[in-house]
Amino acid sequence: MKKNIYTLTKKEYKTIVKRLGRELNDFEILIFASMTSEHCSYKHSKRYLKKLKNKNVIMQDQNAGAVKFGNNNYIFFKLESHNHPSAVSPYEGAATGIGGIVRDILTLNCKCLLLGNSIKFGNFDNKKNENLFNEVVRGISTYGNSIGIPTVCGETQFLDCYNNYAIVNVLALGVVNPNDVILSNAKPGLKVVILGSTTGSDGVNGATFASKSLNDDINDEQKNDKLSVQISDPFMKRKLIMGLKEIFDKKLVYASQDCGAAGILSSTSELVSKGHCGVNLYLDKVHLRQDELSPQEIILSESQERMVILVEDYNINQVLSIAKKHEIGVSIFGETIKDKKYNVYFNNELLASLPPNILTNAFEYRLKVKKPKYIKILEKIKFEHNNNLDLEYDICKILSHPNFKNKSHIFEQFDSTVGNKTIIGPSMCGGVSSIYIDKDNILGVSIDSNPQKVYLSPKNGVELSFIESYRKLVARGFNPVGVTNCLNFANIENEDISYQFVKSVEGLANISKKMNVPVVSGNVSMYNETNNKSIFPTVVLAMVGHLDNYKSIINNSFSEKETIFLLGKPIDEKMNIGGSFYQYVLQDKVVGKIDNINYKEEVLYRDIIFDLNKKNIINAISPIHTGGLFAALFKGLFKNKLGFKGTLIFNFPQNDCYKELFGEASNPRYLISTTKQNELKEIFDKNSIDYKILGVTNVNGTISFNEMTFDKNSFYKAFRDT
Amino acid sequence: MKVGIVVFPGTNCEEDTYRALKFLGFNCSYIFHNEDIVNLFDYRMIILAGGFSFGDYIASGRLAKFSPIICKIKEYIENKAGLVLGICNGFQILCEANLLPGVLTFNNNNKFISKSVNLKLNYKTWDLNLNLPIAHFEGNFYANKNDFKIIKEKKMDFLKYNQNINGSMDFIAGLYDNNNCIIGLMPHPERAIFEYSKSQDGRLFFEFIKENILLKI
Repeated sequence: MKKNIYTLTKKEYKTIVKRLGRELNDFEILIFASMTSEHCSYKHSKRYLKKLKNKNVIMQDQNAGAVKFGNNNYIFFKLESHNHPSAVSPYEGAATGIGGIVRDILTLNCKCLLLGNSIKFGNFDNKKNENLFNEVVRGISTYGNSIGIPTVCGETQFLDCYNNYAIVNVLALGVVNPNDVILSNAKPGLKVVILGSTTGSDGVNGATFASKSLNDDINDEQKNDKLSVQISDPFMKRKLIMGLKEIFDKKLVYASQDCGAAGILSSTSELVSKGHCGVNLYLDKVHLRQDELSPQEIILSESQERMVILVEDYNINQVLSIAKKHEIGVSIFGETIKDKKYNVYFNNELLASLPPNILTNAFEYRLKVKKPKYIKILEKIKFEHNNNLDLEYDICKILSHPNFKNKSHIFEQFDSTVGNKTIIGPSMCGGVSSIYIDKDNILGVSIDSNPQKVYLSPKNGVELSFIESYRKLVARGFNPVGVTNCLNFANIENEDISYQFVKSVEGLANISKKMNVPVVSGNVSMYNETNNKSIFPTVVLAMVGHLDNYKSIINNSFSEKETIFLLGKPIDEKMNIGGSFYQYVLQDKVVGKIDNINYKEEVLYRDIIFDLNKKNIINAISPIHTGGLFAALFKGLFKNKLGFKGTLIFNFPQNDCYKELFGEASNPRYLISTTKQNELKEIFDKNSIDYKILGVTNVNGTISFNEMTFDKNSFYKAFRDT
Repeated sequence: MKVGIVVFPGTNCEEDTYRALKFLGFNCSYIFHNEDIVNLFDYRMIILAGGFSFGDYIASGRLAKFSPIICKIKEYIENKAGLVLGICNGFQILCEANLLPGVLTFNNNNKFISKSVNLKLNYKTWDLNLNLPIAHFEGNFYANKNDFKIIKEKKMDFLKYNQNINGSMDFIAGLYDNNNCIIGLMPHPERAIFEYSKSQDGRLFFEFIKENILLKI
């Protein structure tokens, strides 16, 4: 095998030698190169990620973190990136991305209830982008559908910064009774068992490969990269799910860890490092796909559909017979020991003997944080739209933009109803999806990102993204209880990027504390660039909310002859709307500032909405986010194909109305529809809440406001047609 | 009423079916495809649940038809012991095993389709409009001339899509072989049972099965 140590620097090597007190042999160098890669070790990010720790999170140090959900459930969930593999081999990259995140949930003995995804591509004027898109969607579809877990939520964006590249982030969520959780902490005296697919040469060095920037020009390297991508086998995964369930149900496993990045190496070293013990591994005992695999390849292979479990001697036979029943490969290839040593043998030869804590905890770097020039320039630019308005044309342009319009051509390829627990699946207008957990526990989930806003203002951009997910859940009656994140950044060694990263994490840590919605888990993906072009900082958030009865879910589409209220302040001259969607769509600009969030107001609005819902005063809510006030109104009207008459512009002259119509400010705004306008008005007045009455829905053929009238069908067509 | 739900490696709708039928008052148990000590004659209905049996490698349902359980099912059918119901992958397996005429191949858009569809169920005096979810890649029904003639003569095409969803011949979504008591359909009635689901029309479907078939066997 070619030596591939591009992520271990000379300086790092010297540090390891110093800590170890001796030189490393070739095998050990390879081990360290993988374990100290960004992908496995988080060496550039972990100092900052500590800020996200929260005492309300259960088992934050495990494969995924959890929050309590009702009285008898833990909900584990996590987002994970698979960008590098997807850029090189989009179908397999996306498929194995799902495979990996499902294993993270499965290994804890959770029942996996839902999948989600956030995928990003360049624009379709480039054929390669279209191909990447089609293949990624096919990969998610083929794999996700086969394993019997519904894909209920997702998000897709097309931006130039992702040209020739793909951001593939996948979400998995599972539920478990607190007493049944299986941890990944070893103890001495257990057998080390590998379960599932054979180990082959695919995905060797995947972790180191994912920790560098990809470059289009170097063909040889690309060929090598292809070998670093794993091959998916959803059928084996389904068998593994069924077999593991039986093994877990019979309580035959002491600890479990999925085999993901850096394969057997990282799974076994994490198990023993968490359990403060050691291990003897015999690599020649692992069941292989092909003969003549070197020990390096065996230990680093990222062949999919494998799990490592630790089993007491007296349970081994039962484990073997269950594996046989489900036609799953299995081998016993080591034992845990008291001595804190990570010993690797191959044909009786000792290849490595290292202290596990060095392996899993080698380096931690500090990043430079200086406000980049580009931000100082962009935030001063004021977005102006010329006075030569063709509002109808511009509205259609916004509604028909690929990032906004109906995405049924994507989500209809994902099975969203398998599992028989889907209450709200994906829909044309997007928003929150919902899954039935049990009678008293209904789960809502939203997945979203705002790359442009985070680019302009990492801290406030992330806070705004967070709060938009929060508002979406609130608008359907769910109380947000936890969030997971996937932080996709370009080359972290670049100072602009390290600023984006550090400030994004700061924003996330801050708002999660302020809003009391803990970060349960997360993933970081660095070096996302091709041909030295950086992606926008892409902070994907998936937020989960709780509701105690599915009948209390709030509608998101208006009905005929309802009065529409704006809860919140209309946009005025003073508010900033940096990074708003319409600026990008109409003028291809990403400029401006983003205001701070008013946390107290957010909580106040949440409480009011929940109270109004309880009192049955409201019919539907459409939260205002991407596309501003007009987009929220449109989404509320769309499902029932309604018309509207009223006022949308309050603070600006008609020829300068874009900011108020489409702007996305930081203050909370919701559209509420009701037939009990007097009661609603009274409650708002009594509590001194900001609101405006916008108008009334109808079944006419027009949407009209401020003396302007538009044919509603042209809007519906622009949004719907793909 | 006892119902057996067949599980192949790769089946993934067995739990969904179990929960739904239990809710409707059936007494369900799983039957693993290679279990020796199983007597199918104990059951009034055998369900081949949805999923990707044996990964649907080569073609959907093609490997499952070689499983020992299929021989037992053939025996069950010959003895008119009860109803055999194949849902989605189950329908594909029944066609592959020649227990129902025709084949199911790739959707005409060559993509997986997951959505709610409107259907018409037509059998003797029964005439139902149903809204049920579909979720399949190979649901495009095709029959050669001879098979199609048989389908028409025996009036097997009891369930049809209202619109052309996946390219199926004559909009066929399901077949019912009245003589042999075999039903196969692509939509998932078991996913339209619970009150929280988008549709509850699956209840109508199983009512049809109970009233029309199970009570008469």
